[in-house]
Amino acid sequence: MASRHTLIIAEKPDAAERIASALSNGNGLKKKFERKIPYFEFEKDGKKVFVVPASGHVYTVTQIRGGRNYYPVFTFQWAPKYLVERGAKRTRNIINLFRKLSKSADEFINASDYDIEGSLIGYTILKYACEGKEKQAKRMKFSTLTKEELIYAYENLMPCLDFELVEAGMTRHEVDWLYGINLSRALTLSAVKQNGKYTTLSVGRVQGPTLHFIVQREVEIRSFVPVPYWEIKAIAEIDGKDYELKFEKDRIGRKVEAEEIVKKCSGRFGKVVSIEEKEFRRFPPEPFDLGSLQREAYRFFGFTPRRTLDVAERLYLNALISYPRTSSQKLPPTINYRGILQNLLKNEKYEKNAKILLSEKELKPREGKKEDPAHPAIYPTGTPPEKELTVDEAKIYDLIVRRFMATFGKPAVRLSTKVTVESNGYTFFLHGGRIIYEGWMAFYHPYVEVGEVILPVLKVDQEILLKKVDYLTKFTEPPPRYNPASLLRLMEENNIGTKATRAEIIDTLYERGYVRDERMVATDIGFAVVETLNKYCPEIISVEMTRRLEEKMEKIENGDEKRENVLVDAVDQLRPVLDRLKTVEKEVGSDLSQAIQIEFLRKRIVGTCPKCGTGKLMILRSRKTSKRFIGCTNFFVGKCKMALPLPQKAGVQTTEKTCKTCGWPIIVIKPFKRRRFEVCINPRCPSKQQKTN
Amino acid sequence: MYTKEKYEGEFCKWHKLSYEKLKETFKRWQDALEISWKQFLEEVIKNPNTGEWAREVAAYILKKEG
Repeated sequence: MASRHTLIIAEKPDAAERIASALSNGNGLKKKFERKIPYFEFEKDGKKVFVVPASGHVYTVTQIRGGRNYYPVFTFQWAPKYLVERGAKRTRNIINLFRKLSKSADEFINASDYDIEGSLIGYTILKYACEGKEKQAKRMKFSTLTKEELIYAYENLMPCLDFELVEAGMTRHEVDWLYGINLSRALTLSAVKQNGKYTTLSVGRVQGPTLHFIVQREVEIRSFVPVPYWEIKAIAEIDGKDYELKFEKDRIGRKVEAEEIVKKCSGRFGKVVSIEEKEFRRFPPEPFDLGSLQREAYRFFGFTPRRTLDVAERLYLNALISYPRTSSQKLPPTINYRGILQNLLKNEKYEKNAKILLSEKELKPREGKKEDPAHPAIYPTGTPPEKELTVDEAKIYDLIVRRFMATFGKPAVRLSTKVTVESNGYTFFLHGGRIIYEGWMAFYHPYVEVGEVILPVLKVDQEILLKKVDYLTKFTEPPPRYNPASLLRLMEENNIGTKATRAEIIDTLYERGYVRDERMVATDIGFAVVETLNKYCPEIISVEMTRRLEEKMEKIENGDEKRENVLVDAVDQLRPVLDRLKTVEKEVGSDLSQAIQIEFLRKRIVGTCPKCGTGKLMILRSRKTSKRFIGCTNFFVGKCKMALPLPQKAGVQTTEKTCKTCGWPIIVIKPFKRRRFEVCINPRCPSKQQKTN
Repeated sequence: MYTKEKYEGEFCKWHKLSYEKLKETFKRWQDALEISWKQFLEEVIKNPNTGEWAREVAAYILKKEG
């Protein structure tokens, strides 16, 4: 390796392959492996080029010295991930490969994704693995992995790294590490000292306020007392057909009033006093940023934000869509609208709509307010898929393509009709509506909901029979529990976390056992963590503090704030909190241990015993054989001998579900290295016999 | 119960909150229907929209007041 060469850093192997194949144009491209790490080699303009993938971050923040059992910790350094995290062994080979290839390289290019994380991944490799090459390195900036854009980015390299993004990225990692390590240790060690058992309790700068939202909502739901109200339901018969009318008030607060209305109007005639027709324009939707894509994917497919992000990243790595971790709602003309639509013509699914749009003289997308300096909104590249998409990929891709096309559509026009009917001093309304011009909606099917109600022809002064007027007793409802998509929106609205981290934080809440179920229910541990922090250091779960830090970190990105200042601020905020937690360690440990025990017990409850009807079925262990089984709690008072076998080697998880066939509880079996499955605990369940037959 | 603390010697923090809500809401129920405190508690216990803490407090009071 005597001759000098170029070393290009890519974020992931798929991206490296795309970059190498675009820049080499397929000529002399060699895929090589070094200790199972793939990398690419080719010649460009007589010079050898290596494209080497990282695997996300290969360096991370860690404490300089000392063990895991103390806090506070305020001294840290960046170190290879394999030295810090279990399961990161592969990063050793990656770092060694970069080290080896950097020795005889004379040109360095960071071609990781153009955002904070990508900039930081490249920077740490250049600084630590390539031993101080960060100052001479250049930066490739692109938003899609299409051949054209990659070649353009290579031919128009940024002369140096984006140091402001790097600085912002480093600060974010360091601040999050300071918060995470110290607060998590404070909680975990307090609980360990109290009950002697180790349970990881984590809390972070963003995780704390997010969990607080869920707990606050849970408190509202659990303490909710409904209030009755009444709704008037009126049916009018017009030309032999029934139509539902809306009463002037949505809710009646007193029953006697509702009874009076029914008495005075039911079976009586009403008179049409006015007919109003209005045209409303419905504007096209804005292009997708990551948050709106995640919400729409949850709405239509039930995908969690994390799942949507994972799928979108795969589509990006296959050069099918632009970079998905964007907060932009802008589609600049430079992305070449017509070029994308021309490409989409090749897909018969989109051919018709693409043709319609291409026939327009001018293409102008509807754009939202949000901007992202690094990337435009999410859009399809139009490049046909090279391989068949998975079901999830096909769904997200279709949603993105149709949304993209819809943004170019004209406003839809809806004709709304409001007929006002008066009867005995009360007013009723008959609402109708239909789309008279589809506009953008034609491009966004089936992701657009059009409620059409066609009304009969009516005239002012016409008499209408109110065939049936009745009241419905209703009760106010508690606010809904958050789901991953609504929680994501709340985090966005409160400006906590980033587009790249929010989905992961929501996942962590599940992993730590702080919440369960899709409609997020705060568990006892979740409650205890929030309550403890609220009692001893409320600032940690306040949105204010994390938002302030977030704003400062954004300022670093723009060059208006220094990393050192933000770190000093963070330590100044943390130090008194940790001092306080240390003085109340016993109390904190006691509160948390109690919740851990309750949660541990809850996880072992399978359901109500179908035999005695009063005991609870629990996962127990035999004292004689140490084998695991399901037994009834009434056994301990001599009332029930119900016992059921359990697999000994697979994992077992309780659910709150019951079998649709026999009504017995359902559990989840998680065999080692095999797919988990649900099973009814009833050995004689008819559903099992059906399967056997 | 998530904390050992007792308020007013009867309820923990959360059940005290629910008790306050029951008292507040009773006034609205009385306005909406002619209903006694006991009937109100019975209705609240039956209602599927009632939160679990509020239901527990209603059941506790009903039992205590006979």
